[in-house]
Amino acid sequence: MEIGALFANLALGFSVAVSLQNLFWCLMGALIGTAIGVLPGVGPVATMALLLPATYALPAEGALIMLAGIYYGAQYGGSTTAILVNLPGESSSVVTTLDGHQMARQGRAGPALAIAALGSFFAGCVATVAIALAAPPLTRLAQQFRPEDYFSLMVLGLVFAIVLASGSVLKAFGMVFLGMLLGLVGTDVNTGNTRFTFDIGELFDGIGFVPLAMGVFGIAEIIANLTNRERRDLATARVRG
Amino acid sequence: MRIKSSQDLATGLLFITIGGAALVIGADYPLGSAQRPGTGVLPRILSWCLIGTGLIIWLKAFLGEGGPRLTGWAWRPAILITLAAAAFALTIDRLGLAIAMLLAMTLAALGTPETRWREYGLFAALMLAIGILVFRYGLGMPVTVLPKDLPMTWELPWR
Repeated sequence: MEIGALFANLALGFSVAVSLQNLFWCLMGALIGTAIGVLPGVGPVATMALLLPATYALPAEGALIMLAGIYYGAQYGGSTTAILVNLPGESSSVVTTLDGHQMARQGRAGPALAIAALGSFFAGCVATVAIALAAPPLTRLAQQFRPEDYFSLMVLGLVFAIVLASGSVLKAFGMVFLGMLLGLVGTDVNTGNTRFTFDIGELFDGIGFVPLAMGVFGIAEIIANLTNRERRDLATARVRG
Repeated sequence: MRIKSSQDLATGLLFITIGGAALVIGADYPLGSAQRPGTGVLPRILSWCLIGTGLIIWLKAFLGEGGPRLTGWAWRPAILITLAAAAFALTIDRLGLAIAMLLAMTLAALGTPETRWREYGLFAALMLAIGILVFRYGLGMPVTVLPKDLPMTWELPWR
């Protein structure tokens, strides 16, 4: 696609989206989406599914715009609990717990929340522009992806998991093996046999990422906080902007 | 032989135990052939890798230069907080949101001797109201607030 067509298409999109009514629906969507997304365990997809009926009464453009607002709101909302209580609401905010909760622990919860909000806004804008620009060439690239490329990507991810882990490299190795072993739970996609499910129907689909992350990060944090008294730092410091 | 890092010792033993358990449970998964690897190949590889890593860490606890010691076990919060989450999961379907929430909150409150019960009562009532209003009426989630059919036929969620 040439640049001229890109701008023409963007202009058409903006001419539809930028009306007072549609901007209001966007605001409402982002507001409600953030409020729901803050609840741990309710990620963007679940939030959109729950709030879908609320958009039925709107015209098609308004409904789509409100859903987009809900999506971005919910995407951002998960970072709040990730920073304040170390509970990632969805898979994408697991990384936020690593640095964000450390900042909150040092009494800098306000800046951490602000960084998450600004970062979310900035990255959302850049990513949207990047997708608009790069979508056509990217689709061609994605179609060339073959099994060996997927394999290399996975190896890269596992290597990074070990390299970026803080602390003992040996334990990082062990945890990667343990994580892969946990990932095997459920139905084997190649043969259809089930592994490590103990005939529990809920496990046929595998262990969900969000329950696992909430257990490892959140529940463990709660237990650790009840254990050592001197390290009690869950939301005791005042949140300042 | 002196134990130089009891934390490494525990980590190693934990990895060996989990790897061994996976090996035992997965013992009858078909291996297939080298051309068509079966269900059991990857679990077996990973189990052995985990056991190997655990063994090295375990050995390091004796031969290494020493490391952090294990702190005491905190049985009370560990058991009760886990029980709280499990109780909620097991009762939410049958007994409804109100009882499941009360059960989970009470079990969690029992997890520490520092719970101030008067404040807990207030907190529980508030959380119950918020939880029921938001999840049942605000979001319309398919959960019941009160027990569905009181003459219960109690069965485990599987089988």
